[in-house]
Amino acid sequence: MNQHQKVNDLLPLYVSGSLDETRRRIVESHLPVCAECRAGLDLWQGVSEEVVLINRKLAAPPDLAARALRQIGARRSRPPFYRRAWQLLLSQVPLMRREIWPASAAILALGLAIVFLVDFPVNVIPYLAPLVAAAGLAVIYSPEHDPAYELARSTPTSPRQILLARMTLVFGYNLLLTVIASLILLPFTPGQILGGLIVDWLAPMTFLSSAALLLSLLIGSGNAISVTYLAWLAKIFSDATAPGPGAGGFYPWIRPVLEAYLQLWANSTGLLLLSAILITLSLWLVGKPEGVHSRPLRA
Amino acid sequence: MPIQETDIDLIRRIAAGEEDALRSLYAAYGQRLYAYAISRTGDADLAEEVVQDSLVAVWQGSHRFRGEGRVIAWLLGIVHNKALNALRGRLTLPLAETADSPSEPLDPAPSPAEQADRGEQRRLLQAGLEQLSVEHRTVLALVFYQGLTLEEAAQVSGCPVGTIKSRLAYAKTHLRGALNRAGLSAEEWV
Repeated sequence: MNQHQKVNDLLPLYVSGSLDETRRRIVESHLPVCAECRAGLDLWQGVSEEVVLINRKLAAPPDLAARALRQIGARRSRPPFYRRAWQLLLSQVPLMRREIWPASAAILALGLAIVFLVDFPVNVIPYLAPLVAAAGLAVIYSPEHDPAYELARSTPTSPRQILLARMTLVFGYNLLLTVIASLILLPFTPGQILGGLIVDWLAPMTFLSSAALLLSLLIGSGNAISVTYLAWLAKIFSDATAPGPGAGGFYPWIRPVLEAYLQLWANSTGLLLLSAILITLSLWLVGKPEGVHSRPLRA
Repeated sequence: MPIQETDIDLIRRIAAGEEDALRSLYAAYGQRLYAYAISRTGDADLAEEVVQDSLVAVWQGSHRFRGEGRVIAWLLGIVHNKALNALRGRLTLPLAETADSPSEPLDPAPSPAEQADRGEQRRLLQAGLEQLSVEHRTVLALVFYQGLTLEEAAQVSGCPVGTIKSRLAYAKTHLRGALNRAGLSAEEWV
């Protein structure tokens, strides 16, 4: 780089006074012999004056430091995350449909009663648990089923946090109930361990629940329950017919379809991954500024 | 003679939780930070929000300041990032309001004819500055108003020094072109 180019690059810093002594002298010794650099210097001086004038006119509000300190103080006084999460969970309980809790318990108790009292040959808990959980998640967030829906949307708590809290409450409750039911059944299912019993229902229950949640946001709770129940009944039907030769005899074309459908439900990892996607979609939907339901609330 | 508190001392006091130190820092640099926030956002309300958030970030991150550069460059870097975050999802607004207002004369006693000439020259230069992108105007503000070196300007903007140089070169070519088209040479500035 020749001297002219070097000085040309230094001119803005010379004008702003940011050059060290050595480079300042280099500029000053070059300027008298270079008309182009003098013109450049003049231009930068004009630009500098304008930029300084424009910026100096901008008066900063005097209270921004005080406002920042208030914001810092407010953050300090916030309870820790786990306590806020717990408070959020508790605050959602009275805002949800009360019948969710006894209904889930009653259906699972009925399942246990069938197994014990009627001496039913099949453990019905893995069949009932997904239905109970799906119905629960289908009614946790919608104007149809939440009298405090509009109120909840106007609070500082985001709709996503509310949905997440309700989902945790209802799914956690159903999970707990089903684990208890499996524990009760454990002594009466020879050769089984608790883990094996849970695997039977955990992934299908998670998938069916998350599908019910997303569908309830898209097409309403009633439709969501209908669709997910049909899907689950189709699975039970496939269980009952696909493995045997009967189905192949009546409808040879249906057998591969039923087998493929059963394989979908048997793939626990796949179901859990799909569930994660569906829950993410649900959270995204409720977080949209316009909400998920454009129709007015029912009176 | 009282010992003048250095910027580093201020940052250390902020790290120790002294609220007065944050107030002193704002008294010293608030206007420059606000001006930079305005130049980035083009919106006074958003700029206030950005500076306030930046002060909160300074409070929370002051213990991480290593003292390797000037405090103003570190502060402007924080404002730059906060402004970028604030602008996400919003449209970037032009800086027209900062350049529309009439300029003040620099010469204490110019003649009416000189005042008219300078007014015209400034108007042309202001128009040229307005036509520059936010990024180019930001570099000019960092160098001429904030007094940063090219390395500091690069650090604040999060780009290489070469980019800062090329933005300066572009701004120069553009502004010279604006003056030449109006028949004014740079020498007429003196």
